[in-house]
Amino acid sequence: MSINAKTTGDGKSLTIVIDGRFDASSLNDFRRSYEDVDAAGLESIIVDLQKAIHLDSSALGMLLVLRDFAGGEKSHISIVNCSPEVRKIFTISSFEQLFTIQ
Amino acid sequence: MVTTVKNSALTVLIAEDSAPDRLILESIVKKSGHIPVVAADGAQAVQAFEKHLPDIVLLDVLMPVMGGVEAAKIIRGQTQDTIVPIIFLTSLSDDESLVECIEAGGDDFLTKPYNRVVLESKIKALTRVREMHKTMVRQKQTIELHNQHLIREQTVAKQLYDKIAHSGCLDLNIIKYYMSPQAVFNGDVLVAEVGPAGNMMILLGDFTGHGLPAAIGSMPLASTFYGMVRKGFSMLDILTEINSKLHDILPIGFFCCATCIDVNLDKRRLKVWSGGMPDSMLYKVSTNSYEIIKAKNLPLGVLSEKEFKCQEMRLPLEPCDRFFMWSDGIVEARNEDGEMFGDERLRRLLERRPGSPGLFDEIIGQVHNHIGTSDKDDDISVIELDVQHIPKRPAADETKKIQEGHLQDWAFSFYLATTSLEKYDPLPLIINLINDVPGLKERSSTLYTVLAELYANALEHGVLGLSSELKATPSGFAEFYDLKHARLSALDEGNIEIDLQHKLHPDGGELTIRILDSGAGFDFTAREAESKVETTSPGQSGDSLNFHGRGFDLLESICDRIVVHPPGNCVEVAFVWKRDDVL
Amino acid sequence: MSDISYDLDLTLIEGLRELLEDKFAELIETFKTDSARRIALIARAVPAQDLDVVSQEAHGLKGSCRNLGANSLAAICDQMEQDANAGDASQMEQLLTAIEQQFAAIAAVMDDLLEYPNSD
Repeated sequence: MSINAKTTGDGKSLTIVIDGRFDASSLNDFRRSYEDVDAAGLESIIVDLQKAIHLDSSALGMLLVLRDFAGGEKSHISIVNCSPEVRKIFTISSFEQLFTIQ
Repeated sequence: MVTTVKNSALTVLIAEDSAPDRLILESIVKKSGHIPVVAADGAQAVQAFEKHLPDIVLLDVLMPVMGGVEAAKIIRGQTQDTIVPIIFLTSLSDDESLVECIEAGGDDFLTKPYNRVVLESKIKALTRVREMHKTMVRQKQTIELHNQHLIREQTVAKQLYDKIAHSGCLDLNIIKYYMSPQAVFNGDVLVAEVGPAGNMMILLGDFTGHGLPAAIGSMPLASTFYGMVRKGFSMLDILTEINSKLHDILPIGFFCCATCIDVNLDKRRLKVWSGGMPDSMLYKVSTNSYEIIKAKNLPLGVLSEKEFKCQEMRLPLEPCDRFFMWSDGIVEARNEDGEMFGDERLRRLLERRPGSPGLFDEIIGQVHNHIGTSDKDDDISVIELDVQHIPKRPAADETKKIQEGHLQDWAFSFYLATTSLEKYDPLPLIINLINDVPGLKERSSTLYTVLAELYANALEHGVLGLSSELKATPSGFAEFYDLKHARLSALDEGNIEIDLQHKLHPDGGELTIRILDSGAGFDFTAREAESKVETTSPGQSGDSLNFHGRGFDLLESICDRIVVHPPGNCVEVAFVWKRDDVL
Repeated sequence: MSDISYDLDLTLIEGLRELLEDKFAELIETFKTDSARRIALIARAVPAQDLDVVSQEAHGLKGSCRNLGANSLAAICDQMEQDANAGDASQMEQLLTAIEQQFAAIAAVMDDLLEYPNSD
C-alpha cells in the first residue's frame, strides 16, 4: 500500500493517489499526504482511486476528515477513477452529496 | 578514585572459593559503591542468598561442596517473579560448560584476571535489564489493573446500555432480530418503540469503528430515540435530532449508518429512512414480491443540523407484509477463503421462498454456514418485522391515586402562526402536557389519535384546503403528500389555535379540545342527521364522502361529544374519562 | 634449574595495589598462604595419583595466579589441570617441580613489592 500526493497547477490543486488497500491501516499515510502540503493556495483536491483495491467505512471516515480539512462545505474534492464496486459504496453512503465522484 | 555508578547501592553476592580472588572481587564491588556479601562455596552461596536477597550474584563455576551451576539452579528456583542477574566467574573456555552455565540460569560471564572496568560494566548492563524487567512487571500489573477496570466499566456500560436499548418494544413477537454478540459492542444498535399514535418505529444503526467510540454513540441515539418516539415526534424530527446529537458528539469521520422505519398499520403505511445501509426489503403479500428500498441519505452524524436533509420513502402497507433490514455485516460475512456472502446470495435466498415465515432463520443459518469456522463472525445484525397489529401494551397502574403537584383542573391555549405551521409539530408538546395529568396519562395514546386527527384536519383541509378524496387511490396517496408539502412551503397566511380545558369530576374528568383553523370551513350538515355530531347553526349542503374521509368516524368512536362550529373551521370534542375505566 | 624464568605482570599488580589500598598486603599474604596450601595438596596427591585433587587444586591455583598477574605459573597450572583431566600422569612430577620453583620466585618478588612499594 502506498499513498502519494503531488500538487499541480501552481499549487492550486492537490492529487492524492491511493495504491492498494484504503482502510484503517492507511489512516496516517493518508492524513500525512495532505497535511504536509502547503494548503494556503489550495483550491481543489483530487483523490485518485484507480489503484485502490479495497475500501471500507474507515476510508469513508477519512474522506470526511479530508473534507473538513479542506473547508467542509466550501471544499472542492473530486474522487476519480472509482471502480464499480467502490462507486457502489459511495452511492449507498450518499457521498455524492459531499464529493464530486467520477 | 571516584566511583562511576552511584545510582543506588546494590547488594552483590560473591561466591568464590579462592580467598585471594574473593578479596579482589570484594574490593571491586565496594569501590563501585555496592555492598558485597561473600560465600566460599555453593552451599554457602544459597544460604547467603536467602538471607541477604542480593540484587546480583557472582558465582564461581568450580567450587567445593556445591558447584556454581547447581547453586544457580537453586537460586533461580527462588526468584521467579524478580530478575536477579547471575554472573558466572570462570576460567573455563570450552563451549559445552558455557552452555551448561547459561542453561542453569546464568546471564553473563566474568573471566580471570578480574577487571574492575569489565565487572562494573556488566553490573551496570544487567542492572539496566533488571530495571527494565521491574518496570515491565510494574507496567504489566498496571495494565492488568486497567484492564480489569475497563472490563468492569464495560460491564456497567453494557448494563446501562441494555437498560436503555431494551426499554422499548423489541420483545414484541412480531419483531424477530438477530445480533451477533460481537455486534452489540462493535457498534450495531437496534431500538424499537411504540409511539402514542399506535405507530411503531424501529431503528437499526451501524456505527463506524469498533469498541468504545461506537458504543458511546449508541447511548444518546437510543435515549433520544425512545424519548422522542414515546412523545409522538415524527420520524424525521427524531432522525434530525439524532443526527445533530451524533454530529456534535462524534469526531469527524465517525458516523452511524442507519435504517429507520415508522410503521402505522391503522393508516396502512410504512415510512422508511435509510442512510449508508444495504438495501432493505419489503415483502408485499398482495403481489408475493419484494420492494427494494435503497439508502438515499448520508449516514447520521455526517452533516450538521443546518445541512441535514431527510429523504424518507412512504410505502403502502398491508397486514402480513414483512420487512427485512440488516447491517453490512451480513453481506460482507466472509468464508475461510475470504469470499463474501454477498448481495447476490442474499437475493437468491429471499427469492426462493418469498415471504416464508422460516426465511429469517434460514438467512442466519446460511450466513453461519458460509462463515464456517473462519474467525470472522462479527457485526451481523438481521431484523424482520412481521406486519401485524401491535398488541395493546399492559395499562399503567390504574389504582394510582391523584397525586399532589399534578395537573387537575386547567386550561391551555396554543396559537400557531403561519411561520410555525410548515415545520413545527405541536403534538409532542401537547402530549407532554397531557402526560402530566393523572388519568389522561394512561390514555395519552388515545388522545394522541384524537389530537392528530383534529390537527391534521385543521391543517390539511382547513388551512391548506386539500381534498381527502385524493387519498382514496395509492397514487393519490403520494400526490396528496406532495401537494401538502408544496402548499405548506408556499403558505402565505394561515394559523391554527388549539384550546384545551380539563375539569376533574368526582369519578374521573373531562377534557375539552377545541381546534380553530384559518380555513374557510367545511360542510357537515349531511352528517348531522345520522350521528351525534352537534352543530350550533345550520350549514350549507355538501358531500358526505368528504366528511367521512376526515376521520370523524374515528373521533366519534372515541369522544363523547363532537361539536362543529360554523362556518366549519372550528371543531370541539369532549373526552370524558372515569377512574375505573378499562383501558 | 637455578635460573628460574617467570612472568609476573607488575602493571596489573600495581593496579591491584591501587584497588585494594590498605588491603593490598592482606591480598599478597592471602595469595601466598592459599597458593602454598594448594601446592602442598598437589604435592601430596601426585605420588598418590589422585588426579581429581590435582585437577581441582591446579584449577584453583591457576585462577588466583591469573588474578595476580602470575601468567607463566598460571600456564603451568593449566597444563597440569588438563593433563589431570585427561588422566595423563606422565608429566606430573616435572610440572609440580616447575610450579614449586616459580611460586618460590614469585613469592619473593611479592615480598619485595610489599617492602618497597615504589621500588620500580
